[in-house]
Amino acid sequence: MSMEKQQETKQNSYWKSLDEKYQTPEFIEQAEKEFQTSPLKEDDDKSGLARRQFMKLMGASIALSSAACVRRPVQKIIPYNKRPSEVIPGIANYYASSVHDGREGFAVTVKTREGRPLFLAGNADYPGNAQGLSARGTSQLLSLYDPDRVRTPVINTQDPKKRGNNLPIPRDWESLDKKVVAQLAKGDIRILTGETSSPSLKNIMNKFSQNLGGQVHTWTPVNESDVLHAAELCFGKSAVPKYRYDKASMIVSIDGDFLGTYLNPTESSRLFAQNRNPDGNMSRLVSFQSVPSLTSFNSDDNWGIKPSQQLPLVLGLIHELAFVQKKVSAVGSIRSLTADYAKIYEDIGMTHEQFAELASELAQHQGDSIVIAGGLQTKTKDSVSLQIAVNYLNDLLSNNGATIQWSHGLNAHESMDQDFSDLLDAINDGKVKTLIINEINPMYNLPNSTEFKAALGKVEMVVTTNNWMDETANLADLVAPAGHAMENWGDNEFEPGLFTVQQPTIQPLHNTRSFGDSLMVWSKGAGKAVATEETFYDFVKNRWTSQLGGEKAWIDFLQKGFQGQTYEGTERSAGFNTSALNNISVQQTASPIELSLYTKVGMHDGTLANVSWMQELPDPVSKIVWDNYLVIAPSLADEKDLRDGSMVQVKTAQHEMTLPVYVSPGQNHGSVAVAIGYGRSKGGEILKNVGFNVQDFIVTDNTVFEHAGFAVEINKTGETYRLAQTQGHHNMEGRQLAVETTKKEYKKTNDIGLHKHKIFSIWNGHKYEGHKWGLGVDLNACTGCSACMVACQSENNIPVVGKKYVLGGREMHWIRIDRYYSGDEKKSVDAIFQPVMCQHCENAPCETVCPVLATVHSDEGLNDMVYNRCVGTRYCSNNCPYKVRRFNWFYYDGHHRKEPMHMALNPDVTVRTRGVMEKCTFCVQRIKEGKNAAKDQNRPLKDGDIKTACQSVCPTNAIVFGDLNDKESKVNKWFDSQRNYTLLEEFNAAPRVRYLAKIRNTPRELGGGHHDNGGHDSGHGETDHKEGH
Amino acid sequence: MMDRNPLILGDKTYKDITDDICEPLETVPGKQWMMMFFSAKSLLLFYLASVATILFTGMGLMGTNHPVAWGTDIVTFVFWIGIGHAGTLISAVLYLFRQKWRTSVARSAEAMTVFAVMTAGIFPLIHTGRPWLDFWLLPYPNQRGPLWVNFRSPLLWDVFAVSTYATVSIVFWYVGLVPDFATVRDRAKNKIRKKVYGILSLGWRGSTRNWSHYEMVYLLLAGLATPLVLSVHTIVSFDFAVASLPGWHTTIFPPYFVAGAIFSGFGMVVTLLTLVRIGFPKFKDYITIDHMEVMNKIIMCTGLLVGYAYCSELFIAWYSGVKYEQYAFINRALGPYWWSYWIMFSCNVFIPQIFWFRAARRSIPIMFVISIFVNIGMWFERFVITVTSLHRDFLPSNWGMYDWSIYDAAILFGSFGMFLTLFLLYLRAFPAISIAEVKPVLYVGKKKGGH
Repeated sequence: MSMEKQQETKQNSYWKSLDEKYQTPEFIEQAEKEFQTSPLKEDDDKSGLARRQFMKLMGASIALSSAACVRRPVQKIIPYNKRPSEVIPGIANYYASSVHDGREGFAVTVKTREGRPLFLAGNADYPGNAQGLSARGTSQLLSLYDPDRVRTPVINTQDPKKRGNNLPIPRDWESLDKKVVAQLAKGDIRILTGETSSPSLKNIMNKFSQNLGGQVHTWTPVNESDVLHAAELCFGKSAVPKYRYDKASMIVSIDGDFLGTYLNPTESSRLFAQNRNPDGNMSRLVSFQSVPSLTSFNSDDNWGIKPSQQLPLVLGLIHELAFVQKKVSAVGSIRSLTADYAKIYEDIGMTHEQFAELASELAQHQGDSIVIAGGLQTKTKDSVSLQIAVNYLNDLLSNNGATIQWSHGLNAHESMDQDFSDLLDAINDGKVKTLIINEINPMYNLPNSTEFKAALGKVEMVVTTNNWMDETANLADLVAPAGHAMENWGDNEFEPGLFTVQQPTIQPLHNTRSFGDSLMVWSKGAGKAVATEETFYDFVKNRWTSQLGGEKAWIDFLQKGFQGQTYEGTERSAGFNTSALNNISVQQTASPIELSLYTKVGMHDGTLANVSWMQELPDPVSKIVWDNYLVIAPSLADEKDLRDGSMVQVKTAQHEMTLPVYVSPGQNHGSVAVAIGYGRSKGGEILKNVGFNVQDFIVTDNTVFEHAGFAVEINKTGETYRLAQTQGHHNMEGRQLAVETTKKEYKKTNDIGLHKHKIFSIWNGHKYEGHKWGLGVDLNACTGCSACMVACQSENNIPVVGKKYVLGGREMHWIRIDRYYSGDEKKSVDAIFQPVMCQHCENAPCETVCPVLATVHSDEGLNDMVYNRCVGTRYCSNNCPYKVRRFNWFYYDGHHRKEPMHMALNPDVTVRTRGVMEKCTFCVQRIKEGKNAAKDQNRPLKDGDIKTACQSVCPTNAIVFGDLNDKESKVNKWFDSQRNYTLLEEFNAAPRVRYLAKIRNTPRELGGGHHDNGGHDSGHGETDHKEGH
Repeated sequence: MMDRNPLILGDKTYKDITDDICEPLETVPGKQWMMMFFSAKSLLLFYLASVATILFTGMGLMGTNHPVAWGTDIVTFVFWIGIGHAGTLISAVLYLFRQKWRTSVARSAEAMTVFAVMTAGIFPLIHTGRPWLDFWLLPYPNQRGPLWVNFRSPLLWDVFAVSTYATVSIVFWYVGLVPDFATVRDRAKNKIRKKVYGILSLGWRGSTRNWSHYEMVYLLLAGLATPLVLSVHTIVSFDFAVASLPGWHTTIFPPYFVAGAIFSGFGMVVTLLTLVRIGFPKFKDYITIDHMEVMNKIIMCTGLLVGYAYCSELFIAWYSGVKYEQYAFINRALGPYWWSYWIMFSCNVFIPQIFWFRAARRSIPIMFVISIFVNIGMWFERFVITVTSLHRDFLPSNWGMYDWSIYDAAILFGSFGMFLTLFLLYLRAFPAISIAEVKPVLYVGKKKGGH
């Protein structure tokens, strides 16, 4: 220590120790710490047996010796030293933000507690998705807390020529930036980004490529190239339209799964449900599907088709309308083409009457009908032709501009396969020195045949912003993790003129930096700054402050979450260019069996494969979790002697592999399909060994990616594979469970044709003086999208158990969606969805049999579950006729929640230990929260103050919760509806959940289901073995 | 009066009887016994290890799931409780009815009761999710606030029924043993033996006063134990009958369960006593073919009763007109678990019909095989009731299958280890035939001499 220093320190007149007096480095280090041993780092093993650890071990050994087998989680309580002004412990804060689930963009409200996001729901004021949020949207929360995310910038040590054998080394941003900046100086930069709807990021990316000499390529594996291309040809402007199902009375879908996976399913479901009021306007939906989907299951009539029949079907409809019925006038030149398909209905199994009826229904609804086709299943050789034909048919029906908004369509659907092809060409021509891949995973999503991997060897440096060490990140030289959307600032324009803000709701959990920030830093480093601002946040803020006019407006924007509104007027018809019809050619030849690839509601393109909620979300169609499989028709299964789980050799001209089979009613005999998004190899612990990678079936010349219509050969291998299905049986066995009737019947009788039972009681039952909670489920509105299941899982800390235990029948979802079939499974089936949660019976059978009174009734009519009283006899579950109770067979929480996943836990809901029963509570914590809020404000509770988690994300408002003692409450109105019924009414458990029957808008008689008279045996033998879970 | 065969063969004297019965207690065990004991003991250790693993890891190791929340544990519990019934019936009910043939078999049957109830008692304890909190099922003043047990729950009735049964059975068995313990004590040649049996015999001196008190207590306990024969299994059946599940919610369950319990109990007595006869050839004079035949008659009779109950269930399901009920029974017989139903039906109803033939009733190999079938059949009866009713109930979407795991098998077979170990030890430590009760029936059925 120098004399100078000593001189200075002598000015301290008082000192506690010599260390302090001489200001030794050890002292300074100590003094800067608030605590001598950090209370946060209890398990800092450097300090050996520290005092706290000693106490902990002492405590633990006493606890262990006194209570063998009881394992209680270590709990850390950390009080605020100084409380941030906006945070009140125990009170949730809600922030407006937006997320994109890979398919659809949402304005959301993020619920945070003590500074951490806990729950996502749609922003109810936002005119797009409104309160609705898809299952994938809700599960963004878990992907934020994914323990497998890349936590720091990573430098891969590998031979760039080989792109393999790497050893990822975590580094800091400075060293990564240095490498990137040095490389950028060489020019020839390409950015390959997924679809982004952020105007600010687009701005930055464009400036970046301008300033540094590069180009932006937008490409997403599941894209709408065909729609964009066709629009260009038909209307002179490439666009993806927005369909207004709320304005349409007649909808025909040809593999356009708009309720499940195509374009914006959540918003579409909301709009669709608005026009499905059985007591008012009710649209009619007819579906032709090559693979059963939510759309086909929600249709009023449906036919299974083959991919090769999609285009002929549209042409046949045009022919029927224009040249047979002459209801519309088409250009004569097309007649020669359409005439070939005049009898297409025969191939589909329709009668001419049915086909003519369909055409005349469309004709009756000119200007208020929609014909829609799209999605992976339609990406055959003829996909552009199909889109042109559909556009033309809509034009003939005057729908373009009326129910189909072309000028006010959807943003974030601008990725083109052409863009990818251009990039690949550029790489192969040696024109790319640096490739920046922004949050897409082409190495997984592209078939090997594209030789993209080989091409990457020609790029000097590959940088990716991916948040996982996935297939692509493993091949990149540098990984500059962009962090999660919930950690970063941003903005979005999901629809033209409708802007949403993306507010971070938590500090980045790891050492990540948003893509916008990275581009700004790199461009600045290269001396060609893309913006004057310091950070991307400032850039976004300045941009909006100047655009909106002031700081206040920006704050308002943040609070409201969005700006602008959806287009409500009628567009001028976008003048169809009939010369586009010359591009229609039918190249797809029919094969006996055709294969298509499709996307599942939960898995989509595989980006969320590491999110366990999505893996364990039962597919709404098949109810299978943790797998993809070859969907085949029951008749084909008979022919080839296949059952669920039989392995088959699937062989196309392109690729050959073995896949397990799932026999799906409603599937066309000649059509088989398998979902993409599975069989990921890298990027986390959860996605490993889940399902099969089927990307190599894609046929591509690198410009067009064909996903459907491949001639395929299927051969039984004799092996079997276990598919985990959450529903054991798919037929109502003639029981009155999910009730449906036709609109015709309903209008005639004003009744749903229920068989009512005379219920009497020898006592008057309990009186509920205060609140009396009830919940209604509208089966007519429910599309089965399963968003509620994930919302419930998120809200109530419900564990995921994995495939092995789902096979053993141990899934934990508190709300499940039962899906029943009716009709002849060899032809076409109707499906009906029925969400089932705890029915909170007034005469609850579970309560009487519990020996320790662990489940009891509250004075508000809730069936409460007292976890810490439960011994786990499981008698309650046996006695529950709805079987809604779930048991903690193991200590799920301890085994499955790795840090930081525990941060996703809702602190208002007990985390259940092993050996206790659990079930839906009607979100009792939300009831409490609502009551407390009303009490604080000194006002009575209003209807709608309390929303259950499932209700709060439902896009179609199929669930309503409220007080039955409130005469004006919405739930009371539902309970009084003619459509209301209780499940197993004759059992007289007196449930507090009521269902509103589904109404099908079809002229035919319904095939089976709730009627006692026959028909209900169908499908039994077929589906019987599915119980083996 | 009808002539009957002598109850005790071989022209025994009183001393012969004492010598014969005390022999296993006073000699070094032979190879046969040792082999049986070591295998039983190994099975017991295996059982303990399996139970410990389940306790440590969680109930999830067993095959129970959603919707089948009760499985092997409950099935095997009911199975063992049922086994116990024959002991009480033989020792108490037949005593009250003055059936003299019971004396030779009563002791072992009672021992079997006690051990079966002990084996059974473990199952409800380990089948809960948190077995370390099982004591919450006992109503005793506690400091857990106003929490009390739920007297409406059949499981709680079970707690009382089974614990009462266990207590009464043990006391009854022990009281019967007191004079014999005194005999062993008096014959003891070493000090420790004398001490131990001295304590066990509670100072029995064989005075008239002793005998008079003994007879009175025995009679009273027999009177007390008799209603238990009916009540225990009635209450066990309430676990099912009081629940509202189709296939469980039936009024025939109490008598049906009691009949089944006696049936299975006699099955097990026959199994054990054939083994005892093999293990201790001298006991053949006491446990004669006539004894076995009487028990076989009871097996056939109760087998018919059980068969009647099965048919009655089917008829009532049809007659009720309730489709859930109807489906439950169709599913039992023809559903995915059809094989268990038909194993049950064949083992319990069809196979015992062989006992219509006198030769079969008196053939040791035949009765041994049949008694094993009866045991298997009765386990499957409980399996059918528990699992096939649960696996398909009201809402078809919930239907599933029981997910049988290796732990189910370990627990089921392991429990035999516990039972057999206890029984084998009993054979060596306690007089397996009541010396005091056999002597008075020495001359029954004998032509010469006697009273």
